Amino acid sequence: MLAQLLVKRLISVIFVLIGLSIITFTLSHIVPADPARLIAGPRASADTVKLIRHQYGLDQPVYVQYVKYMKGIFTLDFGTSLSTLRPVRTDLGRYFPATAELSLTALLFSLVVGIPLGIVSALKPNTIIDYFGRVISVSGLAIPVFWLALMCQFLFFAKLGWLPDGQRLPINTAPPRSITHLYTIDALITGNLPLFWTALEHLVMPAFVLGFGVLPVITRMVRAGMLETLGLDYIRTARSKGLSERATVMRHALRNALLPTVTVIGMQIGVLLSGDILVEIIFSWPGIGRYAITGVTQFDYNAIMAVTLIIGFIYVFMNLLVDISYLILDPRISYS
Amino acid sequence: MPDNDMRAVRLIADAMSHRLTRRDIITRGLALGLSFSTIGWVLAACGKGSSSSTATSQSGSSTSAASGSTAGSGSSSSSSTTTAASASGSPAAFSGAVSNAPTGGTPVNGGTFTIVFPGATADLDPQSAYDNQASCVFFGVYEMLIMLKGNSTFEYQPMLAKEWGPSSDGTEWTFTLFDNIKFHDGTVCDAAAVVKSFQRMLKMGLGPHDVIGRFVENPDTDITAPDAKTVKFKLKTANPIFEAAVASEYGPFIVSPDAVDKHKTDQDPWAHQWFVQNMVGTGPYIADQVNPQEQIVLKQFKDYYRGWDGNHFDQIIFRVVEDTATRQQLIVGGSVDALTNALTPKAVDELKQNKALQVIAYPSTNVNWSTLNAGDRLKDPDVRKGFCYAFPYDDVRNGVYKGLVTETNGPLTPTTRGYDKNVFIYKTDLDKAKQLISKQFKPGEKFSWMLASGDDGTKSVATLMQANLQQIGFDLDIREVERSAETNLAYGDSPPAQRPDIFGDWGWWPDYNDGYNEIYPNFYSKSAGSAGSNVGYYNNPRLDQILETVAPGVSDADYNKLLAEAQNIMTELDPPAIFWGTIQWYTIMNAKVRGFEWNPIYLNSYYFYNMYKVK
Repeated sequence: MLAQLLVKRLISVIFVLIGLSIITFTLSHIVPADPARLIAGPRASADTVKLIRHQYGLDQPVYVQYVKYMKGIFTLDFGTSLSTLRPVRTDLGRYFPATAELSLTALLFSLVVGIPLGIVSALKPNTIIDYFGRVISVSGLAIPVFWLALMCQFLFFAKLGWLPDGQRLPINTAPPRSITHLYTIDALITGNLPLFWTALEHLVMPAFVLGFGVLPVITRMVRAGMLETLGLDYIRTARSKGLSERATVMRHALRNALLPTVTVIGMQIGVLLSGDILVEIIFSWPGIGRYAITGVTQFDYNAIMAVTLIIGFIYVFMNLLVDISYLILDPRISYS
Repeated sequence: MPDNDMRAVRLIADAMSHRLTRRDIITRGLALGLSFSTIGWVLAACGKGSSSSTATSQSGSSTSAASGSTAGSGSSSSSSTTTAASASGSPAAFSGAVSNAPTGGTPVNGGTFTIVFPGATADLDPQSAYDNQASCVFFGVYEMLIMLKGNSTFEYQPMLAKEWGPSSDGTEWTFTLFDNIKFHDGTVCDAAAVVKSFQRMLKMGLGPHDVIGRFVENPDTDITAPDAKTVKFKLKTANPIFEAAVASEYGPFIVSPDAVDKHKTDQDPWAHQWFVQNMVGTGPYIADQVNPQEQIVLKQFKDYYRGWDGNHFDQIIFRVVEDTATRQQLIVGGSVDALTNALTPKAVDELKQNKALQVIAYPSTNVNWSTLNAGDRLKDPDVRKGFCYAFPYDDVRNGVYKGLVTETNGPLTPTTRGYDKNVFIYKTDLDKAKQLISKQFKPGEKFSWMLASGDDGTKSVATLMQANLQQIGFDLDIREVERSAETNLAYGDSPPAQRPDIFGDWGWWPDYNDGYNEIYPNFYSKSAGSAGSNVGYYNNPRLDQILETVAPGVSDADYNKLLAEAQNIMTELDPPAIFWGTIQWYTIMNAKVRGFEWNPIYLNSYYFYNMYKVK
């Protein structure tokens, strides 16, 4: 059954991505734009602009450009970025791991704080702890991420000097040998503890800011799920049979309460991995969000297409993972 | 007595009564078509000394600026120069460098100089990149044959060439190179390498190739190396402005021909794709880390032919930080050492009080204007004059830009060759504005003003203009669009009827010191649409004729006379735009940095080799 599910989903991924590519390509080319002029600059002559247009294949009919682009995708050749003038593949290889590292750290933070907070809020409803959890949740939803980013930077970098202003590493620090392309993990794997701490230090602020936006969702979902589950008969039975509270909550209640949370976590991963533009800009984080916004403002068709396809793939893939996790978490669920 | 003669008499009278500085005498003398010897006589008679013109310079004077420093140490920095007085009826003497830089301190040899950029520099090929941020990087890694001297836009100093000059008929220029110049890849930079570099620039045909292409017909035969130290340029026609072009920070940087040969391909015979990501020049610094979207790191080139005696930085870092607030925090906190034109005017104003920083505002060749759509509803020159009278000049210059924009009369600045101080200048006069605009439009008429989003300054300008127009019974629809969309519309081929009445935020500075180079791309009729920057479809046949006459090269006297007429057309007679100010560029630096020399043409650039810190 699992294999069937996987096959069906993979087939649907292909159709989704084709549809996505047609829509994105069409929309980006409908907007009257001349990326060649943006590359050449306002001082360049019309002849130079024409030369650049030809160099990047922008003078060909739209359908020819689309077919050429889609052919390239099968060999993971996404063309040349019109904003960085590098192969898009190279750019993605550089920027995606940065976003991945930031996103996963932010998610880890929100899970490590959010799940326990949600559990405790559910176990002790309408107490100080619950109210504290609610304040955190509302703050996370209400505070604009860019404001929080700027305030954190102002306080922890400018005033206190505790943390760096941004970037993945200090300027003159060489990154670790690339294994996962996540600097913290690679530093640990290569045994470079000082570099690990440096990379972590640079991660703290942006990950906190990003994670603070995800935290309320997880906290509230866990709390709601736990409250509902704790009121069910089988939990009452477990308690009356003398099972410890810890075992009742962690072994029996939490697993079921987490089902809706898993869905949310999966969607949040998709959101995070698509890159939070504002956080990346404020902290000069070289991630996919920053790359995407530059691509949009520069009419960088190739970058826009590639980023859209990758983000689309991530969402579809995360959906699939969530569905599979349901099968594991709840044996009652079947996709037949 | 003919007008010109009267002006000459007035010039001599003013000079003799010491109401003019040396620069004023030279500038006005040239505008009147006086010969250098006559000007020299006038100078000598007034005790101002002889003209410093040489075979290679035109007017010979460096740009003068109002002296003074802002509140702060009270002592002027090494970057400020002394003043020029203003003649009545002409714009106030451009405020020169104003700085609160401290002096003194014990020089430190070594260390790092970090500059922060608001955006990435994607193209690092100096012969295709055409923006001044890229040029800032290039000044560390590449060199031209000559460069502008200090704060001057008329005097030159050696760079790769130790001597240079024209032939007697002006059609050939000869440059003699220094000895022992090497490229960063270890190969020799001799005359043959310089020739190949220029040939690459011209044949590649990208970006700024026309900076030299304007003067040289055939790069294969007209740029030669008769020996290892000599480079000769044969020009299409005698044109003294060629010297200015060779000193441009767009294009004539010398790249390593060996690197070109090594990295060229069949599809890319000039190795342009390789040079986009890599830099190999003769400059004092060599590329160490190149990641244009995040940072570029340069380190000292140990084999630099000028050597490393004295005090110099070990390392230059260019860091990309897109958020304005973050940039401000970095410069205030001392994490970076410099930025240029990358903060809001309000922030700059506040930072002048910060003793840990030096804020140097200096004159530029950059004029800002709002382009009027002369191809559509605003065809009537009188209506356009009305808009010029309606503009809130003082509010914009002092209120919005806190003095970083100064009064201007037309498209040229006093630091630009061909500038005429006597050109008409507009002042806000709402009655006249109403009278002129009402010739064609009834009260209640709405006009459109387009500007790029994200810039509060230009939005404020638009709002102030809207308020003024409303006072006289007209309305202004302010349309904010993404900058790339604005650029696309401006440089596309959409007809005038599909363009706004006013492109609100426009400006230009020349690639090199040449008034023609400022005017031609923006106001020549054939520069309209995708052919250039004439976004308002301006068409004045006499202006076209003047530009066509000046282009191949004319005598200094004719040049100044014709450009004076051109400026007069573009202001008093048939304005294509509202010229609202000369931009004062500013650089904010760590107060311990020394050796920075501003230049009105090398905007956003630092000559790193001469710079160092003190303790």
